[in-house]
Amino acid sequence: MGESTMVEPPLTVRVAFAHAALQHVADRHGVDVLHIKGPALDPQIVRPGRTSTDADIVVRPSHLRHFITALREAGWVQQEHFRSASSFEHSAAFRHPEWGLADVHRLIPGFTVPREQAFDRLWTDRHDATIAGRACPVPSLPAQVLIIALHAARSPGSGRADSDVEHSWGAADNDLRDEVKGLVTALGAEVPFSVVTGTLDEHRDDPQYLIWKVASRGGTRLEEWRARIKAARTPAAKTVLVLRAPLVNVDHLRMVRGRPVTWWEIVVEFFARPARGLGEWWKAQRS
Amino acid sequence: MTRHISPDVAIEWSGDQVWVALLPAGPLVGFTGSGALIWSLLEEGGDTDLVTRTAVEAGVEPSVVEADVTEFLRQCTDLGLLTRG
Repeated sequence: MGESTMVEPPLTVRVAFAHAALQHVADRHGVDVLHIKGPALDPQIVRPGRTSTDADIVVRPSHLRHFITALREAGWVQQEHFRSASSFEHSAAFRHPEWGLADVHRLIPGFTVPREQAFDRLWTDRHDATIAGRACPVPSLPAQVLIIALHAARSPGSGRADSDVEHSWGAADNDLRDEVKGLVTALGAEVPFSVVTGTLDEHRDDPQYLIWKVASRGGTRLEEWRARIKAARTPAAKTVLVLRAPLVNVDHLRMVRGRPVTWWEIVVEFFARPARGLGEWWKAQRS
Repeated sequence: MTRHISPDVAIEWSGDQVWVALLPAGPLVGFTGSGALIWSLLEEGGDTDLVTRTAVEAGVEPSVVEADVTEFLRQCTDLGLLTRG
């Protein structure tokens, strides 16, 4: 009677506990985090059968360094650097032996207002959702709809992302849509949101246009870097990107190989990347 | 002194099964059947009269469940899931 089971918990359960564990760390260290996607979503915008494989959270930018230190102390291991995650350098994966994967966001791709200001906007309208019995702050319903839409905008060809939009923005009434549009304006997300409304090409003159065109429709490595440099908001940020362009993404290489990589492999990749980039560009020109 | 579920415990019910863990490190364990029943009674009112309450729910004499309830409480206490006070 009353034996603890040795059955492996379903992934949905493990993800819920990952959210709870992340919130526990945040509470103990006075860190503001918002839980997004997965079990943090409002049930009315969840597509039937939707599952998550990791726990997604957004951390107040000014608390990020402190939170990462606290996560490491709590047994979480960082799997990649923020700059390796995507063109938007928005998140980093962490793994815990008991809770699995977490995707820790330092920003939501698509918001162009300063990061702290964007977080404040989401934080002001937050409410608590109960996940694994713990109170976890989540963004308002309109903000959840917007976050789903912006994620879909950079997920070309993803039937799941399209279906998520259909069950959130697509199913929203006029009042909810007006609130979402208000947030789009407040957070400077007009260009990525136009991907969802099918009006991206109306923003051709916007510095953000190219990066969202590549994110939503695909492009070569060269086009991606051009888009990133064009979207960078300051000359210093553009310079950093130009200098980093030839560097090897060691995190990515390690994941592809499934093991630590040697210095020699990094050197070989350093020379192979430009060649691949030119090859992709050449193919794109011919097709 | 009564025992209660620790405030650092996370709980997720999945049908008739309950998953519990002490945060932040776990482990994550699941209880089914009578274990889940006893856990639900702990959630409602701690371990006060737990043997009697379990027997009433199970429709048996307290003596039938006493040893199992005691063992269950010991396991939960060892895992840090219960605190005294």
